[in-house]
Amino acid sequence: MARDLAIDLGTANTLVYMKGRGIVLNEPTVIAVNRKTSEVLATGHEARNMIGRTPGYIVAVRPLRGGAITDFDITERMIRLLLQRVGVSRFTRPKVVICVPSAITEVERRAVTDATRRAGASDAQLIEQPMAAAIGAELPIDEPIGNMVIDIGGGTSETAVISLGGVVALEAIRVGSFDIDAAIQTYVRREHGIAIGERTAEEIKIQIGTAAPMPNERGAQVRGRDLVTGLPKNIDLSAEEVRFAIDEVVSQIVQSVTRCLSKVPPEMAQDFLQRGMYLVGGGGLLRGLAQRIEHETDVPVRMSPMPLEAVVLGAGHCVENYQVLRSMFMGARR
Amino acid sequence: MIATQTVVVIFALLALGCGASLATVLFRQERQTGIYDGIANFRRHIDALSPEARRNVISRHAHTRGGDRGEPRQ
Ligand SMILES: Nc1ncnc2c1ncn2[C@@H]1O[C@H](COP(=O)(O)OP(=O)(O)O)[C@@H](O)[C@H]1O
Ligand SMILES: [Mg+2]
Repeated sequence: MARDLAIDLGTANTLVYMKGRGIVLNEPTVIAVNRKTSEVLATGHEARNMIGRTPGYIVAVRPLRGGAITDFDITERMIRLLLQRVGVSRFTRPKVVICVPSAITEVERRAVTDATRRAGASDAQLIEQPMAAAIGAELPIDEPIGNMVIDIGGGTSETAVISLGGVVALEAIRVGSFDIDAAIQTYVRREHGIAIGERTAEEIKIQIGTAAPMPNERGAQVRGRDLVTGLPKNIDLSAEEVRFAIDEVVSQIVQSVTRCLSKVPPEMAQDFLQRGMYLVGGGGLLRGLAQRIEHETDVPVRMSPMPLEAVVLGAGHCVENYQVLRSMFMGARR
Repeated sequence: MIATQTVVVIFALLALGCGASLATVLFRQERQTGIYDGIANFRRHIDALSPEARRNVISRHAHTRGGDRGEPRQ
Protein backbone atom coordinates (compact mmCIF):
# COMPACT_ATOMS: atom_id res chain seq x y z
CA MET A 1 0.00 0.00 0.00
CA ALA A 2 1.31 3.39 -0.95
CA ARG A 3 1.01 6.32 1.39
CA ASP A 4 -1.38 9.02 0.24
CA LEU A 5 0.12 12.29 -0.91
CA ALA A 6 -0.55 16.02 -0.96
CA ILE A 7 1.17 18.11 -3.62
CA ASP A 8 1.54 21.90 -3.69
CA LEU A 9 2.13 22.43 -7.40
CA GLY A 10 3.29 26.04 -7.09
CA THR A 11 4.35 28.32 -9.91
CA ALA A 12 7.80 28.60 -8.31
CA ASN A 13 8.13 25.68 -5.86
CA THR A 14 6.68 22.20 -5.62
CA LEU A 15 6.25 20.54 -2.23
CA VAL A 16 5.06 17.01 -1.49
CA TYR A 17 3.55 15.84 1.81
CA MET A 18 3.30 12.14 2.54
CA LYS A 19 0.59 10.85 4.86
CA GLY A 20 2.01 9.99 8.26
CA ARG A 21 5.46 11.27 7.29
CA GLY A 22 5.35 15.01 6.59
CA ILE A 23 7.05 17.00 3.82
CA VAL A 24 9.21 14.66 1.75
CA LEU A 25 10.08 16.88 -1.21
CA ASN A 26 10.59 20.62 -1.72
CA GLU A 27 12.13 21.92 -4.91
CA PRO A 28 11.70 24.51 -7.68
CA THR A 29 8.97 23.83 -10.26
CA VAL A 30 11.40 23.75 -13.16
CA ILE A 31 12.01 21.16 -15.85
CA ALA A 32 14.83 21.00 -18.40
CA VAL A 33 14.03 19.38 -21.73
CA ASN A 34 16.07 18.45 -24.79
CA ARG A 35 14.50 20.45 -27.62
CA LYS A 36 15.46 17.91 -30.29
CA THR A 37 14.39 14.67 -28.65
CA SER A 38 11.99 16.24 -26.12
CA GLU A 39 13.56 14.06 -23.43
CA VAL A 40 13.46 15.35 -19.84
CA LEU A 41 17.03 16.11 -18.76
CA ALA A 42 16.57 17.43 -15.24
CA THR A 43 14.00 18.72 -12.77
CA GLY A 44 14.01 20.74 -9.56
CA HIS A 45 17.18 22.36 -8.26
CA GLU A 46 19.31 20.96 -11.04
CA ALA A 47 17.00 22.31 -13.74
CA ARG A 48 16.72 25.65 -11.96
CA ASN A 49 20.49 26.11 -12.01
CA MET A 50 20.32 25.78 -15.79
CA ILE A 51 17.90 28.69 -16.33
CA GLY A 52 19.60 31.29 -18.51
CA ARG A 53 22.70 29.11 -18.94
CA THR A 54 21.62 26.43 -21.41
CA PRO A 55 23.01 25.65 -24.84
CA GLY A 56 20.55 26.01 -27.70
CA TYR A 57 19.28 22.44 -27.61
CA ILE A 58 18.24 22.52 -23.94
CA VAL A 59 15.34 24.51 -22.64
CA ALA A 60 14.73 24.99 -18.90
CA VAL A 61 11.16 26.08 -18.20
CA ARG A 62 8.69 26.69 -15.40
CA PRO A 63 5.61 24.98 -16.82
CA LEU A 64 3.17 26.76 -14.47
CA ARG A 65 4.91 30.08 -14.58
CA GLY A 66 1.93 32.37 -15.13
CA GLY A 67 -0.47 30.41 -12.92
CA ALA A 68 -1.69 28.65 -16.04
CA ILE A 69 -0.57 25.44 -17.67
CA THR A 70 1.12 26.44 -20.89
CA ASP A 71 2.35 23.01 -21.89
CA PHE A 72 0.17 20.06 -20.92
CA ASP A 73 2.67 17.46 -22.08
CA ILE A 74 5.52 18.87 -20.00
CA THR A 75 3.27 19.29 -16.98
CA GLU A 76 2.16 15.70 -17.23
CA ARG A 77 5.73 14.49 -17.39
CA MET A 78 6.65 16.62 -14.42
CA ILE A 79 3.84 15.15 -12.32
CA ARG A 80 4.83 11.65 -13.40
CA LEU A 81 8.46 12.20 -12.39
CA LEU A 82 7.40 13.76 -9.12
CA LEU A 83 5.27 10.77 -8.16
CA GLN A 84 7.98 8.35 -9.25
CA ARG A 85 10.51 10.10 -7.05
CA VAL A 86 8.37 9.74 -3.95
CA GLY A 87 7.89 6.04 -4.63
CA VAL A 88 4.61 5.79 -6.55
CA SER A 89 4.55 2.91 -9.03
CA ARG A 90 1.93 0.94 -10.89
CA PHE A 91 1.58 -1.35 -7.86
CA THR A 92 1.24 1.29 -5.18
CA ARG A 93 -1.74 3.44 -5.96
CA PRO A 94 -2.06 6.29 -3.47
CA LYS A 95 -4.77 8.91 -3.26
CA VAL A 96 -3.39 12.33 -4.17
CA VAL A 97 -4.63 15.81 -3.25
CA ILE A 98 -3.17 18.60 -5.38
CA CYS A 99 -3.23 22.34 -4.73
CA VAL A 100 -3.53 24.43 -7.84
CA PRO A 101 -3.87 28.18 -8.39
CA SER A 102 -7.60 28.97 -8.20
CA ALA A 103 -7.31 30.88 -11.46
CA ILE A 104 -6.74 27.75 -13.57
CA THR A 105 -9.45 26.78 -16.01
CA GLU A 106 -11.67 23.71 -16.05
CA VAL A 107 -9.60 22.23 -18.87
CA GLU A 108 -6.38 22.74 -16.94
CA ARG A 109 -7.91 21.14 -13.85
CA ARG A 110 -8.87 18.06 -15.80
CA ALA A 111 -5.39 17.94 -17.29
CA VAL A 112 -3.83 17.89 -13.82
CA THR A 113 -6.13 15.24 -12.35
CA ASP A 114 -5.93 13.05 -15.46
CA ALA A 115 -2.15 13.30 -15.51
CA THR A 116 -2.01 12.36 -11.83
CA ARG A 117 -4.25 9.33 -12.33
CA ARG A 118 -2.25 8.21 -15.36
CA ALA A 119 0.91 8.55 -13.28
CA GLY A 120 -0.40 5.95 -10.84
CA ALA A 121 -2.77 7.67 -8.40
CA SER A 122 -5.93 5.73 -7.51
CA ASP A 123 -7.75 9.03 -6.96
CA ALA A 124 -6.72 12.63 -7.67
CA GLN A 125 -8.53 15.58 -6.13
CA LEU A 126 -7.85 19.31 -6.31
CA ILE A 127 -8.07 21.83 -3.51
CA GLU A 128 -8.03 25.61 -3.78
CA GLN A 129 -4.69 27.05 -2.77
CA PRO A 130 -5.90 29.75 -0.36
CA MET A 131 -8.10 27.20 1.42
CA ALA A 132 -5.11 24.91 1.93
CA ALA A 133 -3.05 27.92 3.00
CA ALA A 134 -5.60 28.87 5.65
CA ILE A 135 -5.68 25.33 7.02
CA GLY A 136 -1.88 25.16 7.09
CA ALA A 137 -1.48 28.63 8.59
CA GLU A 138 -3.44 27.45 11.65
CA LEU A 139 -6.22 30.01 11.21
CA PRO A 140 -9.42 29.22 13.16
CA ILE A 141 -11.41 28.41 10.03
CA ASP A 142 -13.65 26.04 11.98
CA GLU A 143 -15.32 29.03 13.61
CA PRO A 144 -17.84 31.51 12.18
CA ILE A 145 -15.12 34.14 11.93
CA GLY A 146 -13.75 35.86 8.83
CA ASN A 147 -10.21 34.57 8.24
CA MET A 148 -8.30 36.34 5.51
CA VAL A 149 -5.24 34.85 3.80
CA ILE A 150 -3.09 36.51 1.15
CA ASP A 151 -0.93 34.01 -0.74
CA ILE A 152 1.66 35.64 -2.98
CA GLY A 153 3.49 33.12 -5.09
CA GLY A 154 5.73 33.39 -8.13
CA GLY A 155 3.05 33.78 -10.80
CA THR A 156 -0.14 34.33 -8.83
CA SER A 157 -1.51 36.29 -5.90
CA GLU A 158 -4.63 34.94 -4.24
CA THR A 159 -6.58 36.53 -1.45
CA ALA A 160 -9.42 34.65 0.20
CA VAL A 161 -11.76 35.01 3.12
CA ILE A 162 -12.67 31.75 4.81
CA SER A 163 -15.23 31.01 7.50
CA LEU A 164 -16.73 27.71 8.74
CA GLY A 165 -14.54 25.71 6.41
CA GLY A 166 -15.73 27.43 3.24
CA VAL A 167 -14.64 30.25 0.94
CA VAL A 168 -16.61 33.49 1.45
CA ALA A 169 -14.71 35.68 -1.01
CA LEU A 170 -11.84 35.05 -3.38
CA GLU A 171 -9.75 37.27 -5.57
CA ALA A 172 -7.00 35.75 -7.68
CA ILE A 173 -4.72 37.50 -10.16
CA ARG A 174 -2.02 36.17 -12.42
CA VAL A 175 0.53 38.61 -11.06
CA GLY A 176 3.14 37.61 -8.52
CA SER A 177 6.74 37.72 -7.45
CA PHE A 178 8.07 36.70 -10.91
CA ASP A 179 6.55 39.91 -12.24
CA ILE A 180 8.59 41.85 -9.68
CA ASP A 181 11.74 40.17 -11.07
CA ALA A 182 10.66 41.10 -14.61
CA ALA A 183 10.01 44.72 -13.58
CA ILE A 184 13.54 44.94 -12.14
CA GLN A 185 14.97 43.54 -15.38
CA THR A 186 13.05 46.09 -17.45
CA TYR A 187 14.07 48.99 -15.23
CA VAL A 188 17.77 48.15 -15.26
CA ARG A 189 17.72 47.75 -19.02
CA ARG A 190 15.92 51.04 -19.59
CA GLU A 191 17.62 53.24 -17.01
CA HIS A 192 21.11 51.75 -16.85
CA GLY A 193 21.45 50.24 -20.29
CA ILE A 194 22.44 46.77 -19.08
CA ALA A 195 20.74 43.41 -19.46
CA ILE A 196 20.43 41.09 -16.46
CA GLY A 197 19.00 37.59 -16.20
CA GLU A 198 15.92 36.62 -14.20
CA ARG A 199 17.96 34.99 -11.47
CA THR A 200 20.01 38.15 -10.93
CA ALA A 201 16.78 40.14 -10.80
CA GLU A 202 15.41 37.75 -8.19
CA GLU A 203 18.56 38.14 -6.08
CA ILE A 204 18.21 41.93 -6.25
CA LYS A 205 14.58 41.65 -5.15
CA ILE A 206 15.42 39.42 -2.20
CA GLN A 207 18.47 41.42 -1.11
CA ILE A 208 17.39 45.04 -1.51
CA GLY A 209 13.77 44.99 -2.71
CA THR A 210 11.19 46.86 -0.63
CA ALA A 211 7.50 47.65 -1.10
CA ALA A 212 7.56 50.61 1.30
CA PRO A 213 10.36 52.81 2.66
CA MET A 214 12.24 50.87 5.35
CA PRO A 215 14.95 51.81 7.87
CA ASN A 216 18.57 50.90 6.98
CA GLU A 217 18.02 50.56 3.26
CA ARG A 218 21.09 49.69 1.26
CA GLY A 219 22.00 49.50 -2.38
CA ALA A 220 23.73 46.78 -4.35
CA GLN A 221 26.25 46.45 -7.10
CA VAL A 222 24.74 44.68 -10.08
CA ARG A 223 26.62 42.96 -12.86
CA GLY A 224 25.09 42.67 -16.29
CA ARG A 225 25.82 42.96 -20.00
CA ASP A 226 26.13 46.44 -21.51
CA LEU A 227 23.51 46.75 -24.23
CA VAL A 228 25.77 48.94 -26.41
CA THR A 229 29.18 47.32 -26.12
CA GLY A 230 27.96 43.83 -25.26
CA LEU A 231 30.58 43.61 -22.52
CA PRO A 232 30.10 42.85 -18.79
CA LYS A 233 29.46 45.99 -16.76
CA ASN A 234 28.81 46.88 -13.11
CA ILE A 235 26.26 49.42 -11.96
CA ASP A 236 25.08 50.66 -8.55
CA LEU A 237 21.41 50.23 -7.81
CA SER A 238 19.70 51.85 -4.81
CA ALA A 239 16.83 50.42 -2.80
CA GLU A 240 14.77 53.45 -3.73
CA GLU A 241 15.25 52.79 -7.44
CA VAL A 242 14.15 49.18 -6.99
CA ARG A 243 11.08 50.29 -5.06
CA PHE A 244 10.20 52.65 -7.91
CA ALA A 245 10.80 49.91 -10.49
CA ILE A 246 8.48 47.40 -8.82
CA ASP A 247 5.83 49.84 -7.64
CA GLU A 248 3.39 49.11 -10.46
CA VAL A 249 3.40 45.36 -9.75
CA VAL A 250 3.18 45.83 -5.99
CA SER A 251 0.20 48.16 -6.50
CA GLN A 252 -1.61 45.53 -8.56
CA ILE A 253 -1.15 43.01 -5.76
CA VAL A 254 -2.33 45.45 -3.10
CA GLN A 255 -5.35 46.39 -5.22
CA SER A 256 -6.43 42.78 -5.50
CA VAL A 257 -6.34 42.52 -1.70
CA THR A 258 -8.52 45.64 -1.48
CA ARG A 259 -10.99 44.18 -3.98
CA CYS A 260 -11.29 41.02 -1.92
CA LEU A 261 -11.94 43.07 1.23
CA SER A 262 -14.70 44.97 -0.52
CA LYS A 263 -16.54 41.73 -1.40
CA VAL A 264 -16.91 40.71 2.24
CA PRO A 265 -20.12 41.07 4.29
CA PRO A 266 -19.86 43.94 6.82
CA GLU A 267 -19.93 41.70 9.93
CA MET A 268 -16.72 40.11 8.78
CA ALA A 269 -14.96 43.36 8.12
CA GLN A 270 -14.96 43.82 11.89
CA ASP A 271 -13.28 40.45 12.38
CA PHE A 272 -10.35 41.56 10.23
CA LEU A 273 -9.84 44.76 12.18
CA GLN A 274 -9.35 42.63 15.28
CA ARG A 275 -7.67 39.56 13.90
CA GLY A 276 -5.81 40.96 10.91
CA MET A 277 -5.00 39.24 7.63
CA TYR A 278 -2.32 36.59 7.16
CA LEU A 279 0.41 36.66 4.55
CA VAL A 280 1.74 33.40 3.12
CA GLY A 281 3.84 32.49 0.07
CA GLY A 282 7.39 33.45 -0.86
CA GLY A 283 6.27 36.71 -2.46
CA GLY A 284 4.89 37.79 0.91
CA LEU A 285 8.46 37.86 2.24
CA LEU A 286 9.23 41.00 0.24
CA ARG A 287 10.33 43.58 2.79
CA GLY A 288 7.76 46.28 3.50
CA LEU A 289 4.91 44.48 1.75
CA ALA A 290 2.99 43.80 4.96
CA GLN A 291 3.40 47.46 5.96
CA ARG A 292 2.27 48.61 2.53
CA ILE A 293 -0.91 46.49 2.59
CA GLU A 294 -1.57 47.56 6.15
CA HIS A 295 -1.18 51.19 5.21
CA GLU A 296 -3.52 50.99 2.23
CA THR A 297 -6.26 48.90 3.83
CA ASP A 298 -6.09 49.98 7.49
CA VAL A 299 -6.20 46.31 8.44
CA PRO A 300 -3.31 44.78 10.40
CA VAL A 301 -1.22 42.26 8.40
CA ARG A 302 0.55 39.33 10.03
CA MET A 303 3.16 37.02 8.60
CA SER A 304 2.23 33.36 8.87
CA PRO A 305 4.88 31.35 10.77
CA MET A 306 5.54 28.93 7.89
CA PRO A 307 4.81 30.99 4.78
CA LEU A 308 6.37 28.58 2.27
CA GLU A 309 4.98 25.36 3.69
CA ALA A 310 1.48 26.44 4.78
CA VAL A 311 -0.21 25.33 1.55
CA VAL A 312 1.23 21.82 1.45
CA LEU A 313 0.64 21.32 5.19
CA GLY A 314 -3.00 22.36 4.75
CA ALA A 315 -3.42 19.91 1.87
CA GLY A 316 -1.57 17.33 3.97
CA HIS A 317 -4.15 17.75 6.68
CA CYS A 318 -6.87 17.01 4.10
CA VAL A 319 -5.02 13.84 3.11
CA GLU A 320 -4.82 12.74 6.74
CA ASN A 321 -8.62 13.23 6.97
CA TYR A 322 -9.51 12.28 3.42
CA GLN A 323 -13.04 10.98 3.99
CA VAL A 324 -14.28 13.65 6.38
CA LEU A 325 -12.82 16.52 4.39
CA ARG A 326 -13.85 15.32 0.93
CA SER A 327 -16.24 18.21 0.58
CA MET A 328 -13.30 20.64 0.57
CA PHE A 329 -12.15 19.35 -2.79
CA MET A 330 -12.83 21.36 -5.90
CA GLY A 331 -15.74 20.00 -7.86
CA ALA A 332 -17.09 18.21 -4.79
CA ARG A 333 -20.72 18.89 -3.84
CA ARG A 334 -20.77 21.32 -0.94
CA MET B 1 -72.00 -11.49 -5.82
CA ILE B 2 -72.38 -7.81 -5.01
CA ALA B 3 -71.35 -8.53 -1.41
CA THR B 4 -68.03 -10.13 -2.43
CA GLN B 5 -67.28 -7.21 -4.75
CA THR B 6 -67.89 -4.70 -1.95
CA VAL B 7 -65.61 -6.66 0.37
CA VAL B 8 -62.87 -6.72 -2.27
CA VAL B 9 -63.19 -2.96 -2.80
CA ILE B 10 -63.11 -2.27 0.95
CA PHE B 11 -60.02 -4.42 1.42
CA ALA B 12 -58.35 -2.82 -1.54
CA LEU B 13 -59.04 0.65 -0.12
CA LEU B 14 -57.78 -0.44 3.30
CA ALA B 15 -54.58 -1.83 1.77
CA LEU B 16 -54.04 1.40 -0.14
CA GLY B 17 -54.60 3.47 3.01
CA CYS B 18 -52.12 1.36 5.00
CA GLY B 19 -49.55 1.57 2.20
CA ALA B 20 -49.93 5.34 1.99
CA SER B 21 -49.59 5.90 5.75
CA LEU B 22 -46.58 3.56 5.92
CA ALA B 23 -44.97 5.50 3.06
CA THR B 24 -45.65 8.82 4.82
CA VAL B 25 -44.18 7.57 8.09
CA LEU B 26 -41.08 6.22 6.36
CA PHE B 27 -40.69 9.38 4.31
CA ARG B 28 -40.90 11.62 7.37
CA GLN B 29 -38.43 9.46 9.25
CA GLU B 30 -36.08 9.57 6.31
CA ARG B 31 -36.36 13.36 6.18
CA GLN B 32 -35.64 13.64 9.87
CA THR B 33 -32.60 11.41 9.84
CA GLY B 34 -31.61 13.41 6.74
CA ILE B 35 -31.59 16.55 8.88
CA TYR B 36 -29.61 14.88 11.64
CA ASP B 37 -27.17 13.45 9.10
CA GLY B 38 -26.58 16.95 7.84
CA ILE B 39 -25.85 18.22 11.32
CA ALA B 40 -23.61 15.29 12.18
CA ASN B 41 -21.68 15.51 8.92
CA PHE B 42 -21.18 19.24 9.28
CA ARG B 43 -19.94 18.79 12.86
CA ARG B 44 -17.51 16.08 11.79
CA HIS B 45 -16.28 18.27 8.98
CA ILE B 46 -15.83 21.31 11.22
CA ASP B 47 -14.23 19.24 13.99
CA ALA B 48 -11.71 17.88 11.51
CA LEU B 49 -10.69 21.49 10.85
CA SER B 50 -10.25 22.44 14.50
CA PRO B 51 -6.81 23.57 15.71
CA GLU B 52 -6.53 20.40 17.84
CA ALA B 53 -7.17 18.19 14.81
CA ARG B 54 -4.58 20.08 12.79
CA ARG B 55 -1.92 20.21 15.47
CA ASN B 56 -0.58 16.80 14.51
CA VAL B 57 0.36 17.69 10.94
CA ILE B 58 1.73 21.10 11.74
CA SER B 59 3.72 20.27 14.86
CA ARG B 60 5.29 17.26 13.19
CA HIS B 61 6.49 19.59 10.50
CA ALA B 62 7.80 22.13 13.01
CA HIS B 63 9.98 19.32 14.45
CA THR B 64 11.40 18.08 11.19
CA ARG B 65 12.07 21.48 9.63
CA GLY B 66 15.14 22.17 7.55
CA GLY B 67 16.91 20.00 4.98
CA ASP B 68 15.74 20.16 1.42
CA ARG B 69 14.80 23.71 0.46
CA GLY B 70 13.35 25.30 -2.65
CA GLU B 71 13.83 28.81 -4.01
CA PRO B 72 16.11 31.13 -2.06
CA ARG B 73 14.35 32.60 0.92
CA GLN B 74 15.07 35.42 3.35
N1 LIG C 1 12.83 36.82 0.98
C1 LIG C 1 12.12 36.99 -0.13
N2 LIG C 1 11.76 38.22 -0.54
C2 LIG C 1 11.05 38.40 -1.64
N3 LIG C 1 10.63 37.41 -2.44
C3 LIG C 1 10.96 36.15 -2.09
C4 LIG C 1 11.69 35.86 -0.93
N4 LIG C 1 11.86 34.51 -0.84
C5 LIG C 1 11.24 33.98 -1.90
N5 LIG C 1 10.69 34.96 -2.66
C6 LIG C 1 9.95 34.81 -3.92
O1 LIG C 1 8.81 34.01 -3.69
C7 LIG C 1 8.47 33.31 -4.89
C8 LIG C 1 8.18 31.87 -4.56
O2 LIG C 1 7.16 31.79 -3.63
P1 LIG C 1 6.27 30.46 -3.50
O3 LIG C 1 5.27 30.72 -2.44
O4 LIG C 1 7.14 29.28 -3.34
O5 LIG C 1 5.57 30.45 -4.94
P2 LIG C 1 4.55 29.40 -5.56
O6 LIG C 1 3.61 29.02 -4.46
O7 LIG C 1 3.89 30.13 -6.67
O8 LIG C 1 5.38 28.25 -6.02
C9 LIG C 1 9.65 33.45 -5.84
O9 LIG C 1 9.29 34.33 -6.88
C10 LIG C 1 10.74 34.06 -4.96
O10 LIG C 1 11.56 34.95 -5.69
MG1 LIG D 1 2.15 28.67 -3.34
